[in-house]
Amino acid sequence: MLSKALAIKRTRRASFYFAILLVVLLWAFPILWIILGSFKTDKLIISQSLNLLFQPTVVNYERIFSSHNFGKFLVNSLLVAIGTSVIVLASSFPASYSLSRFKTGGDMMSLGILITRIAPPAAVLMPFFIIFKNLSLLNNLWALILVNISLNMSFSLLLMRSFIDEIPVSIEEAATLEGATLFQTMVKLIFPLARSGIITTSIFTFIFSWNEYLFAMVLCSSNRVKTLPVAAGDFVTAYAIEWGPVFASGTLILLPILILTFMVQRYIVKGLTVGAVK
Amino acid sequence: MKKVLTLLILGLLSVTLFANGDSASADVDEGGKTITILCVTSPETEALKVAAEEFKKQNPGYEIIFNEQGRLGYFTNVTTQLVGGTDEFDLVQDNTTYMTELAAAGVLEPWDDYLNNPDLTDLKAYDLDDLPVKLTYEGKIYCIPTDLSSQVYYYRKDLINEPAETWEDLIELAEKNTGTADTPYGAVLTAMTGGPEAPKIFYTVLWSYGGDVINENGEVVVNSEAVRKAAEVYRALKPYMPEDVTTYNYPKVFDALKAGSVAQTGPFWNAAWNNMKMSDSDFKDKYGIALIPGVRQADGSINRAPQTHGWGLVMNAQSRNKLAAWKFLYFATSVEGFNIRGANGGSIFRPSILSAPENADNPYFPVMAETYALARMEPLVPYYTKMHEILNQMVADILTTDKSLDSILERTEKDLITLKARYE
Repeated sequence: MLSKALAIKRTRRASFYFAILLVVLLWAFPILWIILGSFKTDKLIISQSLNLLFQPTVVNYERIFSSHNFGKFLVNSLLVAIGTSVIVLASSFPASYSLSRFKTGGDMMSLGILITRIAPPAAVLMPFFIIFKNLSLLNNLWALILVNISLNMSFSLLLMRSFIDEIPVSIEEAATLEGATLFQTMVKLIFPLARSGIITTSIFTFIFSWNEYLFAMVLCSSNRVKTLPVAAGDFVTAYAIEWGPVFASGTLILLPILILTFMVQRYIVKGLTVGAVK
Repeated sequence: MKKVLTLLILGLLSVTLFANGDSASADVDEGGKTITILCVTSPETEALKVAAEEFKKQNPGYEIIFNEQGRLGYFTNVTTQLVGGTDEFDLVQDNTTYMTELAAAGVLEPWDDYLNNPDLTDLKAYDLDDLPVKLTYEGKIYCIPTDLSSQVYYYRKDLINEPAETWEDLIELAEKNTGTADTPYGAVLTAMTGGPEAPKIFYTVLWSYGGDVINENGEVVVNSEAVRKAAEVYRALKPYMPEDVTTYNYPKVFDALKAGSVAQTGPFWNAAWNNMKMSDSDFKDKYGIALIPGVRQADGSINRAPQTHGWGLVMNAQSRNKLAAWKFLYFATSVEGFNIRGANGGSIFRPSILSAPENADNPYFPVMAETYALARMEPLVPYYTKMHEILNQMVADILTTDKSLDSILERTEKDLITLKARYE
């Protein structure tokens, strides 16, 4: 009787894991397809069969590094993503602290912050273009960094505030009684305690800036300041899509994000579930 | 904590140091001899680069920078930059169909002053009569295309003995070659809605029946018997084409040709011929090229009506290097420029080159000579893009719904009249 119950339990568990595996495979399939495709010839990619077993080739990677300056584009993307993440973090942390502890701007402030994200990016493309043209910042990575800061700041502020909200105020009161200044409390006490929030926010900012396409295409169209997503789009030519190089550059774009995500995934999970259980 | 702060400061410092890249130096044009071109990645651009190398050899001291970009969002980029008043590039590669809107916006430099200046242009050697397509707006020339796109008919020579001459032939051959061991689809049309391609292809069919969308008097004439017949051709072909044919744009049709999964396509762009020959497809030598099908007339002749549009370089009105830019434009569209680009993957449309005896053996040249002679342009109106949205809806309705053709054409007519009225 006991073994029958155990068998049922095991079957249920196996079915459960099988279902999870199916869902994971479904979601991961496009990514796997891109990575596999990057090692195929164009002929194999467009053929009508799946071709899961094939002779891998690095010809697509050779192509993107020889005919296109992908090393330079990689550096440009890193500068934009790191620059944006650092500035967003440095400015959104004290701002979030202020919002959380001093309720700066009242309840309307949060709504105000959200409103900055209501307009779709295409709607603000021309105003941004004219601003950066007048600042002589076209074809300059600073233009992209500034745009990405503007696009990511509201999300970072609100996400980071929710982390700081989770930290009990009593800890700060104890520090104040011990003689800590406001700056010391914020930097030496809250900053380490909000570590998972800070990492989560930075990772999301990094990912959004890393993948940004529209503004990068328009504000930085010169080859010397091109970023990876725009460079990957170069292989979607006027008449044909060069699938091999598209997949190879797609893999190149995906890998740093995948590695980064695996490295800090426990923080991301924590970050995404903050405030879910009170 | 100190580590985090140090990292933050280091990060900011590195971005400050490197974000300007190798600086603005690359694009600064002290002598007015550096020409920056914004262009789309394509075989035509590769051919243009070869011409640029020859130009630099003949004109020492000149530099040409090609800033290439894929087709995704390219026209959004071009329009935003030009309308935003950029001076970051001198020349921009554009499709002639969008140029009227840009010329009307005053962001393009007309060519007339450069063409008519004997110090800058040798009109006799340039031979304007040998350049049948010129993009004009309010009497001024804004572009002479470097490449001209038109439609031809491609068919699998191993499956089809005689290419389709009429739309009825096309339908019959499509039926015969659908679901066979060789090809799942008997035909495919470029019918992806949302872009300019589906209306352009539809024009070729309706024009061959003598119809039009807007007539020469500017009247909307889409709700006509000729357009209804063109729509019937589309509906008759539907069972023999891929189910998702309204997602087929140029690259997707081209991929289908390369994979050998369609027996024939046409009208389809001439650029595919060179692209196919340069590809690694197993089928690259199996396709034949012919004039697009048409409508047989009472005298036995066939009325074919390919559409044409060009790709060309236009001059940015804000360019800081207009004289240098003109020098390259002049070279690129000269007989020498055409020969260089034509030999390197560009399309040739100067009649003097197409009909040259040395090119007679290549099937592409005589077909293109005849195609360009027949081809016509769409009405280039300031509401071109919006008109295409309406025509795209019409094509989608024809291919994906069971709505009656009468109701589709009535609605299209109504929408076009409303649109046109907004611009009058």
